[in-house]
Amino acid sequence: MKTFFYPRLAWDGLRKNKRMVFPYILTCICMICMFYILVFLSSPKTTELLPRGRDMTQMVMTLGCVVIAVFSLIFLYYTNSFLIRRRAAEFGLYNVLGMNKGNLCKIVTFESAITSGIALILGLVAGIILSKLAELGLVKLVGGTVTYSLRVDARCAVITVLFYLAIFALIWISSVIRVGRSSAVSLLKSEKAGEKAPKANWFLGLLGALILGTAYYIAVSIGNPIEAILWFFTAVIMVIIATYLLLIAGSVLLCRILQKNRNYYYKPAHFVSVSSMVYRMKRNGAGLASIAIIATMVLVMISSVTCMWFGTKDMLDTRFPGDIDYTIRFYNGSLLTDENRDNIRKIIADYGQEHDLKMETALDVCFAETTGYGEENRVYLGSESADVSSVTKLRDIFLISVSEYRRMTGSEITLNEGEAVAFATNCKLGNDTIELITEDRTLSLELVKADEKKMKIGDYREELVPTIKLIVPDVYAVASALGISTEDMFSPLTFTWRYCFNVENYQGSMMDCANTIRKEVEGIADTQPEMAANFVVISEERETEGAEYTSANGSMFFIGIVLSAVFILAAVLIIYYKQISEGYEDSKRFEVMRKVGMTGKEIKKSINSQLLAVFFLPLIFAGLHLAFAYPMIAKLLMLFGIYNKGLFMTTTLISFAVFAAFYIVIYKVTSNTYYNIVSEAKNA
Amino acid sequence: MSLLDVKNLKKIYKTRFGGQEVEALRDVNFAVEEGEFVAIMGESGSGKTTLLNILAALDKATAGRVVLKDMDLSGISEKEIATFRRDNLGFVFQEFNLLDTFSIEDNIYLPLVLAGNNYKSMRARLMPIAEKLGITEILKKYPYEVSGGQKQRAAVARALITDPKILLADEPTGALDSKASDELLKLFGEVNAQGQTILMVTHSAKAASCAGRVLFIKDGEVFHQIYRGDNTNETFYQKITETLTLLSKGGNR
Repeated sequence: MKTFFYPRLAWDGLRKNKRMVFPYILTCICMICMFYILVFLSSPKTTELLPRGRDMTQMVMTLGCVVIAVFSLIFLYYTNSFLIRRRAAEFGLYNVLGMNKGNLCKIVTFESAITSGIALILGLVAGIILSKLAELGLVKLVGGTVTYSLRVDARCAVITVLFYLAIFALIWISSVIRVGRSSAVSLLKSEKAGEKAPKANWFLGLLGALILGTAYYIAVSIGNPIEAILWFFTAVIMVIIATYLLLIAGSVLLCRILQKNRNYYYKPAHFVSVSSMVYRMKRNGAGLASIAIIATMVLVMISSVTCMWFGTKDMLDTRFPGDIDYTIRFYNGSLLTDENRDNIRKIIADYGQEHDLKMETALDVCFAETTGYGEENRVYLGSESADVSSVTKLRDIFLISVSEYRRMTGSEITLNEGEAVAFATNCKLGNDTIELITEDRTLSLELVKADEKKMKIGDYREELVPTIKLIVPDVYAVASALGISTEDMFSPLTFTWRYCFNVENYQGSMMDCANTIRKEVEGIADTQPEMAANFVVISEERETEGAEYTSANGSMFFIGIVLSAVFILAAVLIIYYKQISEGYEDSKRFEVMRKVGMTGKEIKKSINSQLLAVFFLPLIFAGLHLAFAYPMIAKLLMLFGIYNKGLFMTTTLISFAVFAAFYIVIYKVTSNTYYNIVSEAKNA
Repeated sequence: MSLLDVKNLKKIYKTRFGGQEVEALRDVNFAVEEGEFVAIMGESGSGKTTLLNILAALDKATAGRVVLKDMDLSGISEKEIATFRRDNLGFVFQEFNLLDTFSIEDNIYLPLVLAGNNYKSMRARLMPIAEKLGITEILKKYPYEVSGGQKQRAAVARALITDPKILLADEPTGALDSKASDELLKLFGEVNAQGQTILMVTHSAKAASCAGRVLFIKDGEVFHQIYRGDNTNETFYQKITETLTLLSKGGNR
C-alpha cells in the first residue's frame, strides 16, 4: 500500500480542507469553461455562422479571451497562495511528525495534480456543452441561421488545456517553493504572532480622499464626448488608486479619529466594533478595494453594454434617418438652389414611380458647414488660424437659412439683417451677440431668442462635438460679409444638402437601390452641365451598415455578460475566503469576550455590524463610483451613437439593483459559513 | 450568612452520543465568608475547573445550589447572566484573556463600557487601581507590547474595576515565571487585606500558601480543608504539601 500513501494523504488533505479547496476548484472550472467558450466563439468555424460583422465579433471575442487569460493567471495564483498560507499549520504538523521537505513537496504535487486534473476535465466538459449554448445565443443575438448540432473544436480544446496546464504548473512550482522554504517551527507558530496595532496614516488617507475628489470632479465636469475619451483612463486610474488608498489607509484613519472621540468611542455599541474594525480594515483593506474595483468594473460594463444593445435601434434611427441617406455636397455653393433641389427630388421620385416603389421623405435639410474654434461668443473661422493645442475649443458651425428653419420646425420667426438664432451643443454660448471672425473680417450678429425649437440636421456630429447652429436670414450674405467665397471649391464653407428617404417594395438589396438611385441623381449633369464635377453624392444605407452595428453591439453585449460573470465569480471567491479567514480569527476573540462578560447577543450584534460594514463598503464605493462615472460614460456612449440618456439611466439602475441583490445573497451565504466556523470553534 | 454558599453541587457530563456519563462533581459543599482568601487545590481532572466554571455562571450545575449573597445562581435567567457576571464577579484567567485589539487601558474599561459608564467616571475609577497594580505607565500600550506579568496585572485591574463581590482566579500564575508569580500573589494578598474576597483555583502549593484557607478536591468532592491560622507562609506551605502527598497516596480524612 506504500505506493498509494502520498496520493491518499493528498486526497485526505483536500477533503479535510474542502471548505477552502472546493470553491477554488469550482473557480478553476468556471474559468476554463469560459475560456474555452470564448476561444470557440472566436474561431473561424463559429464566426462563419454569422451573417455579418465576422471580423468585429472575432476581434471582440479574442480580446475577451485575452482578458480572461490574464485575469485567470493573476487570480488563480493569488488564491492558491492564500490556500497554501492557510494550511501552513497542517504542513508544519506533518513536518513535526517526521516528514521532510521532499515528502511535503510530494503531497503538494499530488494535490496539485488532483485539483488540476479535476478542474481541466470538468471545465472542458462544461465548456464544450455550454459552448453550443453560447453559440446559439450569439447567433440569435446577431441574427444568423441557427444550427442545433453539437460541435467540438479540437484546436480550441488543445489551446485551453495547454494554457491552463501552464498556469497550474506555475502555481504548483510556487506552492512547492513556499512549502520548501518554511520551517516547522515557523509553520506552527505563524498564527500566534501578535499583531501590531495599525497606525493611522494621515498622509495616505487624505491623499486618497483628494485623488478621489479630483477624479470625481473630472468625471462630472467633462463637457463633451471628445474630452471624455481624453480623460476617461486618467479618471479610471485615479479612482483605482484612490479606492485602494481610502480603504487601506483612510478606513484605519477614520477608526482612529472615532476612537479619539471619547463620547462616541466609549459606548457599548461602538467600543468593540470600532476597535476591531481597525484591525479588520488593515487586514482586508486591499481585498475590499479589489472587490470595489471589480464591482465598479462589472457595473460599468454591464450597464453600458446593455444600454448599447437595447439602444441599437434608437442609434440606427438617429444615425440613419431614412433607409437611404444621401449627403449631397455642393462645391459651388451657388448651385444649392431650390430649383436644383426640386430637380433632384424629381429624379428620385420619377425613379420610384417607374419601379413601383413606395417612397417617403425622412429628412430634407440644407445648410453650410465649417469648422472653427471658439472662445465663448467669439468664433474664429477657417482651420488655418485654429488654435489646435486645445481640442476642446474646436467648433463645428452650421449656418442655416431662416426659411429652411421655418420649413423644418414650423416656427414663425423672422430675422432682420444682422440678427441670428444660435443653438449650441456641448459648448457654452452667451445670450447677446456672437462674433464670427475670419483672418481680416469680423461679423457681429445679434442673438435673438427662438422659442427653443431645436432642429435636427441628421448629422452624428451634432451631439458629439461642440457644435453651434446659427440660423441667419441669408447664408450667402453672411459668407460675403465674412469675405468667404461661396463659388470656390476650396471655400471653407461647405454647402450640404441632407436628403434621406425610406423605400419599400424594392426587389433586391437596399445597397443596390441606393447605388442605382445615386447614379440616376448623378446623371443630372447630362442635362445641367454646370453641375458636373461641382457636387458629390455620399450615399449611406441603413440595412447593410446597420447590420454591422447590430453585430458589433451584439458581440459586445455578449462578451460584456461573459466577462461580468467571470469577474463576479472572482469577487464572490474573494469575499468567501475573507469570511472564512475572518471566521477563524474571530472564533478566538469570541471566546475571550464571552469570558469577560459580554452576552452572546452583544457579541453577535457587534460582529454583525462589523461584518455589514466590511461587506457593504465595497458596494457603497462601487455605487458612488458608478454615480460619478455616469455622466462621463453617458458621453462616451454618444460616440457609439447612444444619445438616449433615459435608457442608460434605466440600464444603470437595473444593473445596480440586480448586482446589489446578488451581493446580498452572497452575503447571506458566506456569513452563514462564517457563523458556522465561529460556533464550531465554540463547541470544540 | 456566608457570602458564597455551595451546597450539594453535582455536575455530570454526557459524551456526545449519550453513551458514557462522566461525573465531574459528585457532592461539593463549602462556604466562603466575606473578606476571605480561599484557594482550591486538586490534581488534573479532580473537577476544580468545572467547579470554577459553575461558580462563574459559565456552566450550569446538574444538581445542587450556588448562592452568592442571597442570589441563587440557578435561578438567574440566561438573559441576566452576563449582567450578573459583570456586576458581581471579577475574573483572572491563566491565559490573561486580554483582547489584542484594545490598548491595556481599553481592555480594563471593557466591563464598565458594557455597563454603560462614561469615560470620565471610568478614568476616575481606573487611576487608583492602576497605581496600586503598578501599570500606570503601560496603560496606552497594547497587550503584545508588554510582559506576561504586566498582562496579568492588567487582567487583575479589569477584574477589580467593577468592584466585584468575589474575585475568581483560574490558575492565575500558570503562565507566569516565578518572579512575576510572586509579585502577583503578593498583590492578591494586598487586595485581600483591603477586604476583597478571592477564590482561586490552582495546583501550585506556593500559590495556595498565600491564601487564608485551602480546600482540597478529589474525585468531585471536597476532601479536606486547612486554615492558615497563625502560620507563616512557609509553615503553611509545608502543611499544604504534606496534605497533597497524603492525598496522592489515597489516604483517608
